[in-house]
Amino acid sequence: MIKGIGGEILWVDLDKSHIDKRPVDDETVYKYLLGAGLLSKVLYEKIPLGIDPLSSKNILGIATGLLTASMFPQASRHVIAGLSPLTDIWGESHAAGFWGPELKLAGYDAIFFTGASSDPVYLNIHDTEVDLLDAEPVWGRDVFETDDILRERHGKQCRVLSIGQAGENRVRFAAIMNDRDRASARSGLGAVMGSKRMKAVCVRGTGRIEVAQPKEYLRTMDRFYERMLANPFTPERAKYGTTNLVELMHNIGRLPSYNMREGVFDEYEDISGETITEEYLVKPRADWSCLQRCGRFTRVKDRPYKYIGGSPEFESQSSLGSRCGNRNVESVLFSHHLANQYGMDTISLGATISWAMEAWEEGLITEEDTGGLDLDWGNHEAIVKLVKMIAFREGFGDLLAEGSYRAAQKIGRGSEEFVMAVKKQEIAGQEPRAQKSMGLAAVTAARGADHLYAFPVLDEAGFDDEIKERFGKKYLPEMADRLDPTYKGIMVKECEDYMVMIESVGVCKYGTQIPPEFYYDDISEALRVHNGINLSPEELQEIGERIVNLNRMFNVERGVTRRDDNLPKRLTDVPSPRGPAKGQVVELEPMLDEYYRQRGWDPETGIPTEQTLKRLGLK
Amino acid sequence: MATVTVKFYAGIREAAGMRSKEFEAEDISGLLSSLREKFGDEFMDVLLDEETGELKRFYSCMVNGKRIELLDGYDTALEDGDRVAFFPPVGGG
Repeated sequence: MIKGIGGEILWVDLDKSHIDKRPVDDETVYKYLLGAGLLSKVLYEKIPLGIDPLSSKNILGIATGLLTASMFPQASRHVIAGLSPLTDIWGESHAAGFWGPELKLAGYDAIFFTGASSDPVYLNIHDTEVDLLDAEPVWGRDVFETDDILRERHGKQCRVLSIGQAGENRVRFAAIMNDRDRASARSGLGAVMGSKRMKAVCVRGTGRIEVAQPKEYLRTMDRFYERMLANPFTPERAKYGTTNLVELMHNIGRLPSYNMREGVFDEYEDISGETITEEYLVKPRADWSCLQRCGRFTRVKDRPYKYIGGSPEFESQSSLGSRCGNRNVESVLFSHHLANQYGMDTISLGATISWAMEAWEEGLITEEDTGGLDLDWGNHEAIVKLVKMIAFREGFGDLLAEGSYRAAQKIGRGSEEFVMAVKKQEIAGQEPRAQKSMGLAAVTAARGADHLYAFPVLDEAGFDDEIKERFGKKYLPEMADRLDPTYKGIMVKECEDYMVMIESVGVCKYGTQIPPEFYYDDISEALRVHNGINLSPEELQEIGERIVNLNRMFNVERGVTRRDDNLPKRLTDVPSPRGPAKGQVVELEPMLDEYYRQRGWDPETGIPTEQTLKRLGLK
Repeated sequence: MATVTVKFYAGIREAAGMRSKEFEAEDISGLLSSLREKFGDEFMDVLLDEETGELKRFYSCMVNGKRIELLDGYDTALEDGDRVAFFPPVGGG
């Protein structure tokens, strides 16, 4: 019997207001683990083809990992998945916090929502008691109000996961928030939750999690803690979080500015981690079992951007700052805060606004379209206004709420050229002309443009030793060189397999990928002492590979082929104009050829071969 | 000798007490000597590994955005106008 888990899965039928509890199936765990793997398997089998992602036929799944709520460093994660209303293919998003561990302590490893409720509801879980309740008191409320109201009603120790107005209004990049300002942001799954009229999941878990080998578990975790604390990244990350990535990215030419026209931002110091830390930081914050403490609270003391709350991470600084040509740091902080309040993905939000700004500069969008709003680069007042207009689908915000791809399709006039997206999802804050592996990762990721599915950071800033250990000396120096496309297909494939496995055990990429402190052998050991599961590093790698292939098949069955594994022409055909990556383009095709060969996918179509599917037990 | 702009980030900036400064040096080894002369041993302890005398694990030195490990290491020659950046462990996305 598997230890270290909640043990049950909730199936919530919103059509019939019926809740079913089913046991976790051991066989599935050995083949897919939990978290992302479990969701991949179940949703591949259950979500019908040819449906509207915002119809009641879609299924929304939420799952914790095998190590979530354990003492493994940074084991706070949960995963959410479904058919994405932004990309119309596999949608997946993850978050840290305390909500996931609380769900496990209540005795559940996953929740699946099917159907749609006629009236707004929320799910209240208190250990074995699980009820669908009338959401009238919180429907129309923002994320923070919802958190306040539900915790007032059900107890301050409850943990709340909810959508804000953006999800209710089916903004195609709406997030699902937890613990107030933790976001499962990408893929627009907040709109799916809104379409089901499911406002929130309020959880209180007072149970215990039985560990397989308690003494050995404590010894192992103690050792892992020592290693994590001794890692040179740990104190730096606790001090700056991810905010000082702005400085690094500008220096390597990877900081998107002006809708990814460039990879440097002359005013980067204004929005930098150092500026935020010195002038706005309240304190760092840590989620469950987190030693990295990259979260933080910030405060702007004066109007018009006065607030106190969660701090932006690098992605928000980039998307709402440099990407929009915006050097006003207080507006970056405040618009990020508003995005959390209304529940939106800041990456797609900033990227969609920056698309509109470039189209405005080119004269393709005018005041007639915007209702008089001036979209000059860096107009921070317009950016802040648009955040609310998008969340509430007001005026021009209604168009932008569709995401940049659909907005450009509607506007036309050549504005499609300025959409910086892959498979309809906006590319994150990684200018790929300055890091070729990120370009490849953005096109191969299952959920459309995405830096986290592979998170190929080994070539970013000095992991030569880790490359040598994982791949072998013969791959150096090329694999470690950001600007060299050589061997990046091999690296991205390896990183994808590892990262989806990590998302299936519920621990953070910080600690397992950057810094690369823990690897397959450590996860294998943790699963043995915590869960009583014996899976070798090789078997865990194969599970990762199986999940990636299953995600690919989910997309292939919805029409995705090699043709869709493509970047905007700006990134493959137009040399980077300035900075350390000046003259660079992404050499995508040779990297893709190498990637498909590594994967065992047909290089012509990008579809997994029969042989590959059989090898992984998917046929 | 080349005149280069050196930028310090995060904990290294705190140890230096400044964001950037111009230095004259022929290569990275020479620049490190100049840094020691200017800021003293305490600053170099932040930057360098005591045993190896090289940058600490995960610390980066970049010349015009390129890590010195991918150039000529500590022998990387400097030219007038080069931008040299020193970073403590930082990375991700």
